[in-house]
Amino acid sequence: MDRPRDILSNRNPRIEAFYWLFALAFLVLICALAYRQIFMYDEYVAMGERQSMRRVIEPGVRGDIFDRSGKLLVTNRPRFSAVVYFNEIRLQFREEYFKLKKSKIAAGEKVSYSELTREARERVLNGYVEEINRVLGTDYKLPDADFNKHFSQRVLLPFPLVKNLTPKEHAILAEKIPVDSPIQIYTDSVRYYPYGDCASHVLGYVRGNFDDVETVGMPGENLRTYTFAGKMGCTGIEKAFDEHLTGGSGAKIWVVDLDGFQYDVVADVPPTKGNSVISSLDIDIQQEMEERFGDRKGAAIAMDVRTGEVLAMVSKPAYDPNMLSPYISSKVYAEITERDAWLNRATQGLYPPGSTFKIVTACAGLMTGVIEPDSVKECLGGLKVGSRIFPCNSRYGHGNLSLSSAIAHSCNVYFYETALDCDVAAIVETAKDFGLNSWTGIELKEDAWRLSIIANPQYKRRRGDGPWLGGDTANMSIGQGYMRQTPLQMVCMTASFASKRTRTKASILRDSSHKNTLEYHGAEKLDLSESQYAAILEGMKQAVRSGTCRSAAVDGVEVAAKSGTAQVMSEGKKLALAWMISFAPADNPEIATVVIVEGEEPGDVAGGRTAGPITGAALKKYFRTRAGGINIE
Amino acid sequence: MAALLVCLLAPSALRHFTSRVFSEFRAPIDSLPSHLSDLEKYWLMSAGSKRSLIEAGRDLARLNSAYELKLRENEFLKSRLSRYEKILSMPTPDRFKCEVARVIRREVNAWWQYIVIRKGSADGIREGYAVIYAGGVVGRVVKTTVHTATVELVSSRKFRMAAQFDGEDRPVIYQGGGSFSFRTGKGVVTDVPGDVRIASGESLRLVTSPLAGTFPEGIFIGDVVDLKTDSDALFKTGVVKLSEGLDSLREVSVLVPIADVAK
Repeated sequence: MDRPRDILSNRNPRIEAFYWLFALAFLVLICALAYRQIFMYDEYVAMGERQSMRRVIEPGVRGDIFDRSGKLLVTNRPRFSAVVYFNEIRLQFREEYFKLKKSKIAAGEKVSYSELTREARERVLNGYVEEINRVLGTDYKLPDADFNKHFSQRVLLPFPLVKNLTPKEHAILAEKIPVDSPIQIYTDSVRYYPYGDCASHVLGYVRGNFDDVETVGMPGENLRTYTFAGKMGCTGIEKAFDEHLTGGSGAKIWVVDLDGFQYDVVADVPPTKGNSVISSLDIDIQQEMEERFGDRKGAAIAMDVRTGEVLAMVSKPAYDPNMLSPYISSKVYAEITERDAWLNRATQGLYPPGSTFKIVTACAGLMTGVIEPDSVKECLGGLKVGSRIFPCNSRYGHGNLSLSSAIAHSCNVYFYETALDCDVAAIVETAKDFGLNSWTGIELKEDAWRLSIIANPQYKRRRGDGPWLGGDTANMSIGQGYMRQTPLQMVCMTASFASKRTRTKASILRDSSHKNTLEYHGAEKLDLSESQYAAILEGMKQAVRSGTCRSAAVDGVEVAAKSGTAQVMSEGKKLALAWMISFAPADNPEIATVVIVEGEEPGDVAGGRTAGPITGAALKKYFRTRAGGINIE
Repeated sequence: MAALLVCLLAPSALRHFTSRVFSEFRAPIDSLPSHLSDLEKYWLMSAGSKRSLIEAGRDLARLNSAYELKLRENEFLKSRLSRYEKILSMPTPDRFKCEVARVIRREVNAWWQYIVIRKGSADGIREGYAVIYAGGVVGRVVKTTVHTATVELVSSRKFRMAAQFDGEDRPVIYQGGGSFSFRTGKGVVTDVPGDVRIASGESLRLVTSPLAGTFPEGIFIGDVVDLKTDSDALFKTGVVKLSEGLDSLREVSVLVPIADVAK
C-alpha cells in the first residue's frame, strides 16, 4: 500500500537529486577552473608570454686596448646605416599588396600570394631607397639581403637600406628626413685601429659573432629571441682577452601583436661596454721598428728585461685590421693570403737561430768546463768533421781567438770545436734550461713553441735520418741543422741571459704590480761564474764596438749584441736569414731585442748589415723616450 | 563630427588642396595685425609734438651717422678679408643671401613650436630654408604661402639638424626637445664622440655644421652644459640650453641659397 503523499510538503526527491547533480557539476567546474587558474597558472603565463613576447639581444661594445703609456691602440668607431623597421611600414606593405593584386586581377594574370607579397615588399623598400637617393643625390640600390627572410626570421630587427653612411650622408639624412619618417639612422660599432697596420698581428682583429652572444642572466630566456651580431676576437690580444674585452649584452623584451610586430617594450636591460686592456706595447718603439723594417719579411721584438713585458712585436708583412672589420671581403682575404701576411712571424715563425745560438753553445762549453773564459782556439777558415769540412765565415780564418773574440767576430770554428768537446747532450740541456723548447708565457694564442725544435740524436732517429754524427753537433753549435726557434723564444733567451737567469716569462700585458715577474716560471740563476759570464758579455760588447754588430751601436749606451746569418733552402734556393739579438745597457740591462729578416734572394741579407740598423733604431727610440731618457743623436 | 568624418575620408589630394587654400586665405589675416601694429606706430609718431619729432629726428641722425661709421668699418674689414681669402685661395663663403622678415605670429607652447613670418614664396622663400637671428639659429621653413612662411623652431621636437662643437668639425646631431609655456626651449645633442668632455661649471657652444648644406658653418645653436655617456658607450648625449632670445623674436633672416636666387 502506498504511503499517502504529503501534499503540503515542498520536498521532491527528483528535484533534490537534480540539485545535487547541479551542485556536483558546478563543483567540477569550480575545481577545473581552480586547477587551471591556480595550479596551471605558471604554465599558462609562460605560454602567453611565449606567444606575445619577443626578446631582442644586443651585444655590448667591446672594450678598448691601450699601450703602456695610455695611447689608444684599438677602439670602436660608429657605423651609421639607414634602416627601416618593418612594423612601421606594414600598412604600406598591405596597401601595396592589394594595389598589386587588383592590377594583376584586372590584367587577368595569375595571382600567387607569395610572389605578390615579395613584390609588394620589394616595391615599398625600393621606394625608401629612392627617397634616400633623392635626398643624398646618390644611386644606392636595395641591398641583396633577402628581405623575405628578414621578415620571417628577424622581423624585430632593423632592415638596412643603406649601410656605411659617410659622415656627410649621415648629416644630410638626419637633417632632411623627417623625425617621424620610417627611415631611421641606426648606429652600430665597428672595431677601429687608429694605427692601421702597425702592430696588427699582436693586436689582432675581430669577426662577426652570430652564435655565441652572451645571454646568460638576461631576462626572458624562454622567449623567442632575435640577436644582433656580436664580435669575437680572432687573433692577437683581441682573441687572448676576448672574454675580458667583450661587453655585457643588453636585452629588450617586446610585446608583439598577432602578426609578430613589436609595439611595446616591457623590459629593457641596456648593453654595457667591455673592459679595457692595457698592453705592454710601446707604440713609439713599435712604429720605429716597423718603419725601419720597411717592406721586408720577418719579425722583431723588444722586451723589458726586468719584467718580460713585450714593448714591441713586429711581424712583416702586416695587414690593416681596419680592412677586416666589420667583415673580411674575399678580395681582402685573397690579397693578404697572397702576401703571406696572416702569420704572426714573431710567435709562429720557426727559424734556425744561426750564430745567435752561439751564446747557448758558449754557456754549455763554460758550464761543462771544456772551455775557460780565456781559452784560445785557432781558426784556419774551416774544420774537418768526419769527411766534411765545415767552413768559418772568414775564408782565410780568424787565427788565434779567445772566447770573447770568437763571439765578437762570430767565428764558427771556435764553436764547432767547443760543441764537439762538450757533446750534444750538454748543448741540448743548456738550450732547454733557457726555455728554448718551452712556452714563453705569452698570453697570445698564436704561439708555435710546441713546434720549436732542439734536435738531439733521438730526434734525428725518429725522423729516419740515421744516427747522430759529429757534423750534426757542429751544425747545432752555430744554430743550423734541425734547430728551429721562434723569435719570441730567442728574445726570451736573450732577456734571460741579460738578467743572468735561465728563464724570462713573456707578457703582453702592462703589469704595474710586477705580478708577472714575481711568479715562478722555472727561472734559476745562470750557472756561470762572474768571469765566465763576463767573457761572453765582453764578446757581445766587442761585437757592437768593432765586430759584426757595429750597426746596432747607440751613442751613450753600451749595447751587447750577437748577429747571425742562418741558411735555409726555399724552393731550391739557398736563402739567408738575418738575425740579431741584443740587450742594453750591457751592464745593467733594461731592454732586449731580437730581429730576424727573411732573405728573398741569395745573399741579399746578413745579420749585421740588415738586422743591425733595426736593432739600433729600436734601442735609440727606447733610450730617447724612456722616463728620464737620455739625449741620443 | 560629420566634418571630421568627411575630412578623414576625403582623398589626400583634396585634403592637401583644401589645406593650401585655407593657408592662403588665412595668411592675410595673420599679417593684418602686424600691418595694423606698424600703422599704429606711425600714427603714434605723427601725433607727437613738433618738438618731440625734432628730438626723435636728431636721435635718428646720430644713430645714422654711427651706423654710417660702422658700415665703413665693415666695408674695410670685408675688403681686407677678401684680400686674405684671395691670397690663401679660399672659397667664397657667401653661399646665402639673407632675406629679413618680421615675425607676425608665434605659436610657442607645449604643443606647437613655430612662428609665422611676413615673407613668403613671392620673396623667394622655399620650404627647408634655414632661418637665423642675431642670437643664432631660429629654425627651418616648413610651409610657405605667397606672403607668409611658417618656421619650425629649433626647440621643436620635430626639428633635427647636423651640428658641431665650436672649434671642431666632427658632426653631432641636434634635435629639439620641446618647451613648456613661459620657459625657454631646450634641445638634445646626440652622437657626441666619447672624448668630448665638459669641465665642471663650464659649457660647450654648439654651432651649425655645414655638412648638410642647409646652414652655413658656425651659427650658434645653444650651450651644452652636461654630457652623459650612452649605455652602449659609443657616444655621449647632452642637453642643449637654447638662447632666451628665441622667446621674443621680432625679426629673423631667412637664408636663401645664392644658387636658388640665381635661378
